[in-house]
Amino acid sequence: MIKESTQRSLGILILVWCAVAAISQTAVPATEQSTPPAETKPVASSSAPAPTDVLQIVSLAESPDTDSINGKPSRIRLNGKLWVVLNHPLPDGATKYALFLNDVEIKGLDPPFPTSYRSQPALLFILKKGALNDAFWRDLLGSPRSGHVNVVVSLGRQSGAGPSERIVGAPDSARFGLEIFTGLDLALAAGAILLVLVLVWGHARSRTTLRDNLLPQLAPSRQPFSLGRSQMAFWFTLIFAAFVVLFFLLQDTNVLTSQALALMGISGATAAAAIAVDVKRTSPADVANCALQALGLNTYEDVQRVEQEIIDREQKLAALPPASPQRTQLQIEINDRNSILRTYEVKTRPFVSQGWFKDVTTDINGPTVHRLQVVFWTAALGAIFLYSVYRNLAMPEFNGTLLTLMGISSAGYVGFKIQEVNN
Amino acid sequence: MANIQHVVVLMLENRSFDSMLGRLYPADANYRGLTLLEYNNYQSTGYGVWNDTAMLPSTATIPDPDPGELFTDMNTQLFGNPVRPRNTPADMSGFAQSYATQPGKGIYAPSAVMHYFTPDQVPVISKLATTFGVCDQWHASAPCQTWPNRFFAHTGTSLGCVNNKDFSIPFTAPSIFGQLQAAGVSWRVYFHDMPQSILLKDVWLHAVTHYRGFSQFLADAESGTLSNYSFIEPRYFADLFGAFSPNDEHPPHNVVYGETLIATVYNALRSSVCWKNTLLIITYDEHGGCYDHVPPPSATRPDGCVSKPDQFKFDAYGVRVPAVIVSPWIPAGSKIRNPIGGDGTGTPFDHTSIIRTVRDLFLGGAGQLTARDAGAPSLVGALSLPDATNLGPPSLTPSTAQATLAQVSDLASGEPNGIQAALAAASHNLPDNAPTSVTDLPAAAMPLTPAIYSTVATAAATATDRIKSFLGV
Repeated sequence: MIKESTQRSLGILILVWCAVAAISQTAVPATEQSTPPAETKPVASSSAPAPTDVLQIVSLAESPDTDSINGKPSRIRLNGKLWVVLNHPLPDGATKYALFLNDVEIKGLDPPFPTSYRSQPALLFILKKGALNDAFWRDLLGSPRSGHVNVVVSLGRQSGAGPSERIVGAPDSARFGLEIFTGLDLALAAGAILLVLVLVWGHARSRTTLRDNLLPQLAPSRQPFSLGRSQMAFWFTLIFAAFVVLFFLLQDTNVLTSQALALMGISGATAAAAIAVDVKRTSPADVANCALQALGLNTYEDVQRVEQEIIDREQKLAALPPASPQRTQLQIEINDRNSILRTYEVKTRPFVSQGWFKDVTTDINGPTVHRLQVVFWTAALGAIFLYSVYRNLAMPEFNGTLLTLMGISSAGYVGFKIQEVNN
Repeated sequence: MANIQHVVVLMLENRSFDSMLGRLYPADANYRGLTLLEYNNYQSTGYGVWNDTAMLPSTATIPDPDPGELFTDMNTQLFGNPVRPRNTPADMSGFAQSYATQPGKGIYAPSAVMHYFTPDQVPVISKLATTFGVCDQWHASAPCQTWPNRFFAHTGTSLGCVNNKDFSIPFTAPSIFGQLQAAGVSWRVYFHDMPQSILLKDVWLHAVTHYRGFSQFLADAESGTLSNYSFIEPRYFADLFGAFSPNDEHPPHNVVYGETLIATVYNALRSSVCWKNTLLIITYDEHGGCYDHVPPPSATRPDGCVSKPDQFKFDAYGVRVPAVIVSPWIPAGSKIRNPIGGDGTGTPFDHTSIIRTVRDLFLGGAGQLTARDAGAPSLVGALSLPDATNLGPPSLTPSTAQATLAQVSDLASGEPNGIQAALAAASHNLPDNAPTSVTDLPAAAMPLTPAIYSTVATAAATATDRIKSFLGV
């Protein structure tokens, strides 16, 4: 069961990822990562070998001890170190220079540390993410389609620190692949997400994780799915997955937004209110529960007990000679228990799950608008959420109207649930 | 003669005449109701008849717990002795004693069985009784439990059985249903959970086509397609799944729900095109241990059967039960008695009067079943208006009270009463499917096999499941 669920969850993960990638490709073709910047204004031409007396970038490296990474994927990633190797020392000190990636200045980095790389002057940059460059990193790393993003490195004066001339290098000398994630990262993130999927959604197949447990006489796998719990689990899964992915990509635990918390709050409050409604009112399930208890069926174990009692008596009956006076009594006991089980089957039928979608969108009379609107608005906001995480590497900042809409939808569901004839 | 095309019988459970209608005409000396001077002694204490004016749910369920209703209990109630004496008239002195000495759980306060309802507490049956007719001389057919009396209503005999558990099923005596079937007269039985009359062998070949749920009665009345003879059985079991309390009025079941059933039946008939040709008989199978002050007179033996081991010959009636006779052909305020011996010395009405009346109306008097119904007074004489002019109120408004889940749950979780346990046990004697030919009928009846049902719900599950299988519904 777990294996099956795991495979299913992995499949879902891949599908979601592909879907979001497809949405991104369709919606924002302009975000192509590897496209070189359009408006670079180099000090020296990059189309021909630069004269050796022109200050230029001659190499890029991950460390002083490793080979250059010119034009190659690197292991440098956010918060990593980049050695920019020059052909001459900077004429007026390193502190006034800023790092440009794809011709965009990375603001907020610490001043570069002048150093050397294999006897050549170099500047060491630490690619730190901070408040000033947060948007830059999101733009650069967002919508990833592979583990690296190609970047062209150049140097220039920090904003307001002098002329805007840029120090560049030859195409192969000033370009490298910035690592976004590794295979291990992907595996760890996928594993964490998979674990949640299995625990929450995989469990739901055979347990009451996402199901109402209004009739304890029903087997867990036959309990109907709960809209409130499903909604809560949906947002929990999305937000957790987003958190894990963003953590691996941005190396940052501070990725939760107040809107994400609001969504979790709304879904949690909806689930809690739905349970409160169920507890407070006398629902058809309560009536059936009372009736089944009067039949001696307090739990599903009692149902199994009665089934076993029938089997035991049938075995005894089969072993008795045809003329045995005990046969009538045994047959009556079997009939009595069969009657109880048939009554159980008939009376619990309206409360047995008919599949997730039908359970969460219907009551005993069929589909209900208040349930459908919660399902569809949740799905819509979920899609926006996923897209936003993929595109911007950030949990979305839903505007107040959307959140209010979700709140109204959930409140409407709870309100109508009070009048519902089934859960 | 009145033009009656439809006879409808509603037989409820276990209430005495005095307990339900004893104070219907308190100022009428000619009405054999309660004077409020009646009492029983038990252990040197007198327990007079009384009324709880509150009419709370606890009032409507008096007596609670259920009084004894076995043959020995009834002997105690009638004679103060569980052994029926020979040639000694009943003095109705042992109701309190019988109740106080019941072996069951609960508190058996002797006064409970001396309780009566006032007309405003049971307004539906009281209204019908005064608008149409009440019979203050209608006795249970024998001082016996439910089944013997219900079988008397259908067959004119109990074949020597005095208690429910004594019967073998199917009950093999010929019934009025069989007589009507043979004569091509239409009939139907309408029921709520399990019809007791399904235990008649006579009906088995026709059960699938003639037994219907109570809702069908309402539909038939509305469409004007009522059969000539309709017999309605109340809900005997608490239906916890539907949150329905029993409406049979069997103590301690709430009489309000029985009142609702009566009103529903009346309203359906009153608004039916059949109304002007209808006779509705509302009665109770036996008194169920509730006090009545009129000693049951001797009766014609229906047949040669004698009970074992008591040797009762069925030569005496049981305690009076309420009987309200409703028809546009009955003068308002009728007090219906057998015109022969209307002073109380003649043959009173009993359940076999139903058979006699149906025979008179639809079989030309033929189709006698036993000596008892042959001599039973007919109700035809009570239909004395020259035309169907006493139309009665357009409708009756029953109480809107509904049983709470907790109340129904209590009932369903309790121990089954006599008829409930017996119906569940008897359901095992029903074939899985109703026989379709004479050759499928069992050669012999089988005694009931005692089965223990811990709750009403388990007994109901068995009974209703078996009847659904039998009728194929």
